Amino acid sequence: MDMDILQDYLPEARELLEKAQDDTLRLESDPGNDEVLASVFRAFHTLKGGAGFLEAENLVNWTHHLEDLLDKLRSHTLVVTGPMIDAILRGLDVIDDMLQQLASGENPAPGPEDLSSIIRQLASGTTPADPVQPILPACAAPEATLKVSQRATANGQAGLFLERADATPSPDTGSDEISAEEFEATLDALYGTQAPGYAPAPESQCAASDEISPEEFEQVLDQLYGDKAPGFGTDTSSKAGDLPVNTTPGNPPVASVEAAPAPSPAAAPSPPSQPAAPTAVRSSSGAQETADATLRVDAARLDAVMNQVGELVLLRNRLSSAIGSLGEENEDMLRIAREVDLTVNDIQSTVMRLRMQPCKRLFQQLPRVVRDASRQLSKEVTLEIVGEDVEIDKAVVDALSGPMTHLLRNSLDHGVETPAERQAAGKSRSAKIRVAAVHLGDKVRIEVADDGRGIDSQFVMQKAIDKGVISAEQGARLSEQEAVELIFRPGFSTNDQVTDISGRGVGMDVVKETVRKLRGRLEIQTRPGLGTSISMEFPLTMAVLPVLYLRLRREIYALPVSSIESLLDLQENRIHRMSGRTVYRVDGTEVVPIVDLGALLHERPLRLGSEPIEGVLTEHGLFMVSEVLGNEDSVVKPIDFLAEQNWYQGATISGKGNVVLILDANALVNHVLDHHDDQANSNMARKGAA
Amino acid sequence: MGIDQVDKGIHILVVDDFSTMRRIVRNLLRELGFSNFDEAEDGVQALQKLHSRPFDFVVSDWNMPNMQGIDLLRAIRSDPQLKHIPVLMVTAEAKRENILEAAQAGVNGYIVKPFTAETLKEKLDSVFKRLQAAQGGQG
Repeated sequence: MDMDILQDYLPEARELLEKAQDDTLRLESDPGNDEVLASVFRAFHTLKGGAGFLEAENLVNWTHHLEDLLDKLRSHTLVVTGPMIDAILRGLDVIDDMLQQLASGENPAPGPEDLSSIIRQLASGTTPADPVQPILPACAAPEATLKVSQRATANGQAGLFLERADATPSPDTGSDEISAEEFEATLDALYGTQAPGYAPAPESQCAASDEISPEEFEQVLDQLYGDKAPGFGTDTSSKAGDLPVNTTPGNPPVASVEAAPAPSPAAAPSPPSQPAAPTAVRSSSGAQETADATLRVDAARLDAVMNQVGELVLLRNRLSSAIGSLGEENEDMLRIAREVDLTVNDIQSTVMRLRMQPCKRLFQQLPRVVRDASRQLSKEVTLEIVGEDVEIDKAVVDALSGPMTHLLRNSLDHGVETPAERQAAGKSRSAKIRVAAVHLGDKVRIEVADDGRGIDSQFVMQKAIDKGVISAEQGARLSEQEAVELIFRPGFSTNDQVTDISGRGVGMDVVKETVRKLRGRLEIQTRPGLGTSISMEFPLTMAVLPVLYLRLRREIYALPVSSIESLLDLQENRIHRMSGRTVYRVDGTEVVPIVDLGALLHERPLRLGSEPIEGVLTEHGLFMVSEVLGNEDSVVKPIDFLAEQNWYQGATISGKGNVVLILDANALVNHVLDHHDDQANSNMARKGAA
Repeated sequence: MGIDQVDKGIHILVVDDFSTMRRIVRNLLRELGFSNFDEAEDGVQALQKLHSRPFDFVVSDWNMPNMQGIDLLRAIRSDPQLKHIPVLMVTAEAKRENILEAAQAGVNGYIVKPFTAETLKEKLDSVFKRLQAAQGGQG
């Protein structure tokens, strides 16, 4: 197998496959759309053509059956039916499997025989429920002599006539497949057969009989042009549309020329006044193979560039820091440093754009997910997709495909009611699921919203207690929102029986974990009876992480800027104990848990009053630190020697050249919430001491 | 006579909507010694390119969106500026109906997918033999 071709073929084939799936789904609602039919046909046709060069025989065969079916739909010989759409979609899944086999270096195995025969039966016009094969007329490969002639037709125009002088039937071939030799022999023998489309076919059509052999083609050219070439001399082409090619099998040729089996350039005289062919004489000077407008690049190479830019960013930070400590008199150095700074920023944003991909790639699979799941659950759903063009880091697109599918299945399974339930509740029978991507400054928000029954927080909490996810005591302290968010805890599933729709592999905890790993934020909003909306916010790029450096006594840590809402001076009178937790009253409405980094990281709580303390307010909690130092664009280096459950999302190298651990704000807050008793006790102890 | 007499620097336009296929065709042509290519995604784009600079040969797919190969062929043959450019048609099947239609429209040759460099060479050989004979016939 040609690996170079394979590398080109796979991504392009996948694009075709995705488009074909989209188109097939469109056919379901718009079965007569010729443009879409042609597009799906072309997808199979093109996939087959490429697979032929890869010698992936089973993929060729598989796409051939689908191509055949689509050819009949395209020509309106057959009409699109529900079972056909099903078969085509399942056929696409098989192609997807085969492409995966190709990607792992295997030549694809044959497709499933049952589906293959369904597709073939559909293409033959019989329904799979009625598996009677149509009785085909015997396929004869007759011995024949070809006569080609050009003569006037009834309407006075020049016509090309193909005539077969004699035919002796030969035995049936019996099988669908034809060997190379048999094929050649058949072609040789079949010169005189009908050309469908030019004349009504008076005899049975044989599979091989409408093919042309190279020799026959040369004879046709001879007949048309003599020793001239197309584009020169007799202008047959301008009238091509009107020219009949007539074949009259079995009849004695009328005024025909007996054509030699081999090409004979001298068969007819030609007027000697043609301009010279430019082909063989002109040498184009200096022309080069024009570069492609787009280039496919191995993702690993892009990642390498991104890592190297990361190193460059860290070096830039160190350079700035070193020059900053040199003093002011060195103006040259300062200017160079500024320019390095700007250039590195430019490189960074360019590389970032290289990695951006439209959300379309992420959303493309969703109509199929909704279609399959809604059928399986007998629910009626319309899917609205917004913002396909919004671009986001490739890492997000790649990682989010499973979670998006899960969110939709989950919404269909648990959120959306049956049509009857919806009607009873005074809603439209058909539910609506909206998937949207919105660009918000340096972030992208992806949202999945339904207008289903919403999430019952009490029900969720009871389930979580029953399943041992939380204790009853913990449950009692949860706010309504916190209770709803229990669905993201590992081990939680509101269905007692794992359903085929949403209970597979990926769970809501995996969705949350994926979002966290992508440095995103996950939010859920639900209104009983009205619907649920889950939104995920991701930074535009994964290449660079802006961080805030913090000092905790003599150690430096970093917090991602994205998780920080504000900095504040701690006021002791705003620290309260509330239902067993130490919390901070930010303002009249916002009360958040306190995360004492001293207690967590040094096992020695920070003492308000006896040492400096500053507060960093994050989304879910207030962090107590010794001092806030400043921010910097950093690059995350993974740490692989820590336990799976830890409070760090990685490490970076500061401008001073030190390794700094980057704190995971969410993990820390969750730890505090889970161990609020210890925390509360230590806070009590601290307060007592102070 | 045939392909051996052809200047390998001739400018070839490869027309196919599937970029993998364009690359395959280009690679095979390169194996035969040709080096000067341009590409177009469909008949419409091909015509634009054909009008923007001289080409000596067109290899076109049959089945393409926007403008099919056969329509591209007809457009070439009916354009006084382009009508002499030889066209090799790439098809999925050697369907007589289609090939005869193409022959009528003025195709110089056809080749059935998948093919090897050797097959391509044979096809080009017949095309160029005919062209050279046409030139020879003119003295």
